[in-house]
Amino acid sequence: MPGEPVLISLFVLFALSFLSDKLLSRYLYMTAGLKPADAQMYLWTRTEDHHMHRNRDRHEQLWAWMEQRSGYAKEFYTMSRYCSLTNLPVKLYFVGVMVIFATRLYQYTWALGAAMLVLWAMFTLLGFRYGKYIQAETADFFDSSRYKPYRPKRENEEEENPEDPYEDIPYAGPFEAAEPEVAQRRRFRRGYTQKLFVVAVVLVFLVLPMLSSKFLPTTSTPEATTAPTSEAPAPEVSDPPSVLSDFQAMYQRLDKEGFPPVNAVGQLSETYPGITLSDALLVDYEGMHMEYMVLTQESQAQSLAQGLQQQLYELVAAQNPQVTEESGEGYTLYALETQGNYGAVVQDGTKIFYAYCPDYDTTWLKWFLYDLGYLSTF
Amino acid sequence: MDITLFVINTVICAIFWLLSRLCCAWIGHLCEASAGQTIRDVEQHASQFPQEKLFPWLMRISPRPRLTALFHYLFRGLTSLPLLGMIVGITLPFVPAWEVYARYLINAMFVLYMVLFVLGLVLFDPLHYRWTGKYR
Repeated sequence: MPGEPVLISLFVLFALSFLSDKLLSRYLYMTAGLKPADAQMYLWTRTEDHHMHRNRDRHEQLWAWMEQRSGYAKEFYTMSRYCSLTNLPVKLYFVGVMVIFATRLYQYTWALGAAMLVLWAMFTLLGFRYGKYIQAETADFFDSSRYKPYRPKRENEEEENPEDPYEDIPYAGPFEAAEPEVAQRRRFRRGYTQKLFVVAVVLVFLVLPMLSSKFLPTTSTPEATTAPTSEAPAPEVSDPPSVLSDFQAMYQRLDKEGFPPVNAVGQLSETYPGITLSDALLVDYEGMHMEYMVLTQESQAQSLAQGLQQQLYELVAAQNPQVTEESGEGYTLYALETQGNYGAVVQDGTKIFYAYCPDYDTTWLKWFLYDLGYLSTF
Repeated sequence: MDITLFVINTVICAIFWLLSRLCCAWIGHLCEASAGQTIRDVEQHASQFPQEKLFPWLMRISPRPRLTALFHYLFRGLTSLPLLGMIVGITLPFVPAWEVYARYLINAMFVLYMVLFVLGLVLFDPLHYRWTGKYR
């Protein structure tokens, strides 16, 4: 993964965004009838906000304060848009990098960074152009008596009317104030656009993994990633799922459930001499023991199932086990449950499923048998 | 009797209970907005009449009382779901097999609250603006 180009590009774009934000915010203050020193003073006085229900982010407060001071003027929103646009490339780059990582198109990392750099330069230039217009338009305002430097309220002044948390901030901007309805519409448009952007990013992050897993070719099969440590190779699962054999389906099923099986024809043939196995799976994982065998003859399967039932019973006979016996179309189930263990033997034609586990896996094993259609309830 | 499942389930549901209030707050505010009141109006009313219950007042002044009631009960219902999960959790030490259903319930709640959060981002502002004529 190309971590280096991504980090370098992100750092450069972050630094440039910070720089342009600092430079352009000067013009934004002008649209609200403020100088940078006034804004700094306001931020300084907002270090402790007494109104808990208000947004406690000082810069959010500054923005809302300027918005009201400007009288919701069109120029304020336009300048604010340019300030936001200069930050957009770094955000887009971040989303783009996620797309690149999901689609594994790493060769475009630098190209995307360069494109975002060009975009940043364009937005910054446009912002400066509009900023110069603002500067020219507000030159008279700052020389006139209409401009009043910001003076923070003293403690005793604030206590005069402590019950009103919403003090009305007077309009003090150099541009014409908007009508109340127009002001609300402008506020709505800006706020809603920001929210939609957040939603779009969230959806991109949600949808991308789904799309990448659906449309991109995988480099490894599930069997390869969860390969058992045993020397015995995993069975080849090359057929499409619709024509999978019972054995292959069982292999995938156990693997998916977090119990990677091993192909154990040789091992189980030695354990049960005298029977002929065509396929066999074995799971021995943290107390969970499962054997799945496909025999060549049903008569052999019947005698093996009886032997396993006997073996299972002898294991827990001293613990007063609870016996469950069920049968259906071509299969029989024999299960034993004690205070600390659960075990089951299923014979379905030429197939045998034999499992036992400690109490913490009992519910899962019962559910598994239920899901296979061998246990009526669990 | 194993109470581990019960404890885990209760802790998860308690977290979801907090999460639900965060993710469904917009439904509560829509209840106020459907009555034509912004958060600021409601706070002002509450400070003027601290004894008065909010919901009856909203129903009295609302031009669309059915919608106001719908949002109110929707908010109540959705924020009560984790409590239902806790009740299911009480049964787990007695019926361990229900653990599977409890797990489904928790997963479903998580997806539901995430969807509601995103839905709130998309729906709240336009509806609030439409009913109150104001932006928040």
